[in-house]
Amino acid sequence: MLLKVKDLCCGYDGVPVVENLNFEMNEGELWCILGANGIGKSTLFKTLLGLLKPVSGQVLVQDKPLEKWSRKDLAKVTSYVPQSHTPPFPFKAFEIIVMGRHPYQNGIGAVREEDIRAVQDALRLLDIEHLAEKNYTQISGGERQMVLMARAIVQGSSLMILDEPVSNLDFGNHAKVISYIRKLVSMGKTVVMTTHHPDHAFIPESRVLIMENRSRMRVGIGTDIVTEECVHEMYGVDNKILLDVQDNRQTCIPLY
Amino acid sequence: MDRYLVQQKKIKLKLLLLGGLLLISTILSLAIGRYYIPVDDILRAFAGREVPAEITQVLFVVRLPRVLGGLLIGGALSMAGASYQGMFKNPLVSPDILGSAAGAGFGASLGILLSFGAVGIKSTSFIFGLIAVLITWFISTRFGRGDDSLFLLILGGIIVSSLFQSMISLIKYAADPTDKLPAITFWLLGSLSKITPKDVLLMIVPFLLCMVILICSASKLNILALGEEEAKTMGVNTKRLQLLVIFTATILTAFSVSLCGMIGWVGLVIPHLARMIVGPNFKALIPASLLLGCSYLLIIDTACRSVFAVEIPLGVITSLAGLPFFLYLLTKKNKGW
Repeated sequence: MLLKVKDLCCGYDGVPVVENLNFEMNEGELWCILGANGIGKSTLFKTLLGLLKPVSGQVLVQDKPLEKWSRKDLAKVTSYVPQSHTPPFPFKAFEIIVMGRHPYQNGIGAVREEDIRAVQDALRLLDIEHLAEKNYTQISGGERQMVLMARAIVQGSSLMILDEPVSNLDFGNHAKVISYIRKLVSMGKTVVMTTHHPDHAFIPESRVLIMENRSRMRVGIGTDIVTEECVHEMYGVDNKILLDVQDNRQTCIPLY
Repeated sequence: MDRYLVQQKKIKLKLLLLGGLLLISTILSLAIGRYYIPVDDILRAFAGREVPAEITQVLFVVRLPRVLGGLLIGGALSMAGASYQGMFKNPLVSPDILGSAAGAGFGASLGILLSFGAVGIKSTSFIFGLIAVLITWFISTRFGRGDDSLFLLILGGIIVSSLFQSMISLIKYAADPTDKLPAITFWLLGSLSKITPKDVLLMIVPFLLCMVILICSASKLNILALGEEEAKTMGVNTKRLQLLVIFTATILTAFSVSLCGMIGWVGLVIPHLARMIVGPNFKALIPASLLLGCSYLLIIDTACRSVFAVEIPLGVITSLAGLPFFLYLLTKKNKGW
């Protein structure tokens, strides 16, 4: 088992934001975390990444409690893809991606041939070889998202945690990023992402964690548990879930 | 990816050229001055060959310590500035951000006021430089938590800096206006003229140690420049790295200020210039800042002591030369720092 969360309460300074979380994640799964703004999705992420101590309960990564992992070893198993950001210095995309090799490098972080090869493979996998020499600060938001995903890939982790990977992307880039995420899942990676699109729950075989309020959540296959009532409960908006019979795909539309 | 290797080669070449620039500016700084020493005499003297005693005297007793001191201090301030800019994710940070320069300035003023000897003044200065940063660190850990620790460090640095600045003013007010006050004022303006061969020997070991630490931390500094939490998820022990950077930058800055007073702008401008030449990757940026910083201070100091009839305080010129230069950098480069 890749990740197991037992009776987890997470929050800041001992004050829980999210309570009684229980779920398990295995290799090769896609997970969407749905919930309104401020419900504690980021708090949960920080706890899963070991950036925040749990208030109570336990997080097991590969059956070993999170607090027993060293930062370097944990980085080989879990990686984090933040929302695309602009760093203060104009690093090249290649330089950003190769940073993901840090857990495998020696103390001074010399870039070895195998690191270069890992970056090349990731660039090819995501079809972004043309970005390698570009300034990370000057490419588009969608391209930055892809570069950050490439960095998580060279980190070699089996659990990838993505913070709203499509939040600022246009329609095309949105679809592209999701299709690459599915590619990664088909390769055996487990991808966990937060999202504000209920539609992501309908991606084939997608699992969802629905955070309704502080202490109530639901876990299951997206098509089973994301219903019109459920979306209404979460966001307080009337909506309709439509089914495209031909492709057996569902979609959720808000009724304005 | 061959292009990556080509780029690495280019960067190595640039660093080599910067090394060459340093060599040339060192030789010229040894040659130029009130008493001109021909370059071939310098080379002969270093090769151990016969040169007039007068030249040996000026070269090894007067000029060499000063040139080596300038080199060490220029390099120290630039390296400290470059690594702080990475750690604080801000290209506008300079090495005195945590209060070490103000603390060292206060220590020196106190030493002068209490009529300590030259060694005493330098030691109290160094010690107060360290104390200032310790107070800043204490403020940030006492009142900060997690996310805002960097912000509190900067805030703490501002508090501590202004505390020591006002204490400097207090000492100036209390100092005897006929001899002590001018001494303090002149000291604070910054000059390499006070450097002795002993100072240089004393500084070389910590300087080299800090240099090695910073160069070895360069790849982690790259990651830290993206943000603390992100760096943690990539396996970087950020607390340890921050402590290491603060420790080395403080030693370097306090040492520099205690030996030669306040020398502004070097630690801010040089990393920018270095970034324009070799790019933002700290693996190249730290050595490049080091080499450029050494050359810059040497050139400015040589100008200070030879262009005018009276020696101009170094700190004045580094700021005066640094400002327009900085403006020029701003206009020239819009694509990131």
